[in-house]
Amino acid sequence: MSEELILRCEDSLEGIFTAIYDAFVYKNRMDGPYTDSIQIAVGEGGNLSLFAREISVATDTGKVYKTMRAIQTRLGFSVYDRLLCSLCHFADDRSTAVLGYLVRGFAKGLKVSEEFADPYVMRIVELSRKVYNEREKFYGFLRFRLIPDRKPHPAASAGDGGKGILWAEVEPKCNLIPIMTEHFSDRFPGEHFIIYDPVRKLAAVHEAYRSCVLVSGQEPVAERGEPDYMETLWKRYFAAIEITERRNGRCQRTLMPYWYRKHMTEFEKAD
Amino acid sequence: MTELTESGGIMEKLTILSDAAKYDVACTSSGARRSGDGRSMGSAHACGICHAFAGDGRCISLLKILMTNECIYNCSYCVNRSSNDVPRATFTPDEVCTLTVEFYRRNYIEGLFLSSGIIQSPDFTMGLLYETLFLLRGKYRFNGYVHIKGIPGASPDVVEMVGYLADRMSVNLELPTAEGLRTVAPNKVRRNILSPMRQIQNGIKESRRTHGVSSMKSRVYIDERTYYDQMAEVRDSYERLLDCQGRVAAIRQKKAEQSAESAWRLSEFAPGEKSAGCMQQDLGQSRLKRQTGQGLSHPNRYFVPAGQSTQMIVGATQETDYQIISVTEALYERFEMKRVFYSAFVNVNQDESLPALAQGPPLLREHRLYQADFLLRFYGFRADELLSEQRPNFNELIDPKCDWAVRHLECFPVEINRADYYTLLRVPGIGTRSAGRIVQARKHAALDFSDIKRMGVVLKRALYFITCGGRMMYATRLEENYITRHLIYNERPNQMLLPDGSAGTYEQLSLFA
Repeated sequence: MSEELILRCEDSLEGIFTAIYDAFVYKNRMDGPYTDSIQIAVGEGGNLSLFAREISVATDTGKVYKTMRAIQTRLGFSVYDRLLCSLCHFADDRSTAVLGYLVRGFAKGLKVSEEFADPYVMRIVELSRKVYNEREKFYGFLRFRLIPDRKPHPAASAGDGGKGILWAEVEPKCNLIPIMTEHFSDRFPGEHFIIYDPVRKLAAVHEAYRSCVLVSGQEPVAERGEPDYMETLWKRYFAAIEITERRNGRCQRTLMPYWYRKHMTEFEKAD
Repeated sequence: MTELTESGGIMEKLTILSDAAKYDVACTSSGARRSGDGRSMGSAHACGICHAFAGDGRCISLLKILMTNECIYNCSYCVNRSSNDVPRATFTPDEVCTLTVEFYRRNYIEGLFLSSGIIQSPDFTMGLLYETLFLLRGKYRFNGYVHIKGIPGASPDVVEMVGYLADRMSVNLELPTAEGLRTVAPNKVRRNILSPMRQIQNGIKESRRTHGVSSMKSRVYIDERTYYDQMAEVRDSYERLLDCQGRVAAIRQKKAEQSAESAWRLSEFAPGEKSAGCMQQDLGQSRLKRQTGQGLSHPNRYFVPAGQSTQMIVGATQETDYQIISVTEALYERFEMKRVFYSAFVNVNQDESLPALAQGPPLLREHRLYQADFLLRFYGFRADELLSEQRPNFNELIDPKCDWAVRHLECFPVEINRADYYTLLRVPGIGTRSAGRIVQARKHAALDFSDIKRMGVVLKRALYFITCGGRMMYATRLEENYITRHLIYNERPNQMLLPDGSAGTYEQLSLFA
């Protein structure tokens, strides 16, 4: 039985990818068969473990890139996508689960993805399922708010962007911003939009016909312009579409729990 | 672009025309998958996206509005019938487009669902819908999802023109039988509903053949070998199922088919048979191909890529559940529908010829029909297996799959580690996802109850019907009454409570029986 190792890394995707790289280095130095004895702890603190050696890992862009390339080339983009989504979960064991999955994946190849009886593989299925589901919900429940330009741009024309900036705030439980922007930039290529997560202070900024940029640490200030008539129309539509004979608040809450509604236009309190 | 301002009366129009459209049930945005083209706005997501849920728990995915509610027809179930005194309004095509695009930009909706009352004539109405759609795709460069209602009685040309721009089309069947339709909707006739359906079906088939695809959902990313291994196993299992059902059907003489046939006489519209109506249909279509030429001039366009759907009202006339699912099955088989929707009847007009629903709309019945609908589409069930003329309605207490299982205990218990795909699917508590996972995972390791629980099997329903490695989970009896009581207790514990507060899941010992 080899000694227990805990790699402690920075709380970011880059930090975890670096730690995974280092974990494989330590694993390959071990004697005897590997027994899942390496764990990756994310962020500060946590419980101290009695019989484990703790090593802190400094984030290194080169290692991040190598890890990503290794997963993409050896296991393919669908597995990479699934692991990336699992890492966006909030659970403490997410990085350890991904490490366990990768150890098995690199040893056995793609067929590891169907070994649902294996605890690490099943854990990845659970984590990614939660993240995928929440992402799917936010694809729908995210609401953009139009912040009009101060003076209209001379080149602006209909349907061509150039008509203000779309601003959205979301507070997802999982860290969705890095994995949900692709959908929106595919859908609204000609719009300027910003999706901001006030809890993690992370924003995705999309300029028309450019790719998305992630900005973290800054707190953007969105000033509300004049009220948008479309918001009024939407609220009216939302009220009119309900069949009152079939009112079913419980069903509505199951499908759209209250915490999703925080930033949704139709549930705003009237001023 | 039209600016929508408060002075334009758009608020009143939106209120009237969304209120008038809300009884249409289909609001799905699924079936088509299309990435953005990098320039215009919009994309389509294969499984659809729900953007909100209204107070009645129904999903709001599309902007569901009528073009106009100034209808010339007088169908007794409909809130927009010509004899009703309700406020009337009509959108201009530009207003509909602007609303759609502006709502879509703010991520309120997934696309447009445009239906209409009949204004002037079916052809004029369908032309109005086409104009709107043409502007939306061309002038407003909208690439999102669009569902257009086919107007019964519109000429095939305009239906085809619309089909090349819309994602989904639907023609409402309105009622489960042609008999019901005659009494309730005197202006609509069977032929006008079924012939556009057939036309859309043929158009879809032909367009897909031209493009060489079988479905508009691109294949999920899964490596090829795994995919084909799995498909081979599923296909093998499906053949066994068909074989078994063939034998059973020979005994039962396809009662459900006869029932559907008596309701709609669908065989007149069968593509292979050369009855008089069908010949006419074929002639009409070859003429139309030369006339519109949409498919030829825009070879990159698909015809109705997300397939067609239909809907019927449940509870307005006296049909049984058995008749309804027989018709549904026939629609899936003969018209290759993507979905059939059911709408619990709401007596909006307080019409005396229609039932007055004292306990509100028949929501539970609608729910059971949807459950049965999924069994038909994904689980390999036949209408004849679920119901029969002797048992024409669904059990209110347990769902159709459990109901089937407790009446067919000779098929159980099923061994998780050996049973084929469609046998697994018949177990209550196992769905398509978990059955797929079981089939994959058991190649690598023998599965136990804790494993399949994590894969998504609902053990509280499944445990009476399965074994893992030859053992059942608990010592249960394979007995119809015993299992039924436990299943009901799972779903509605309150109904099984005894006066002293304990649950009555045990059997009363009968001394004198």
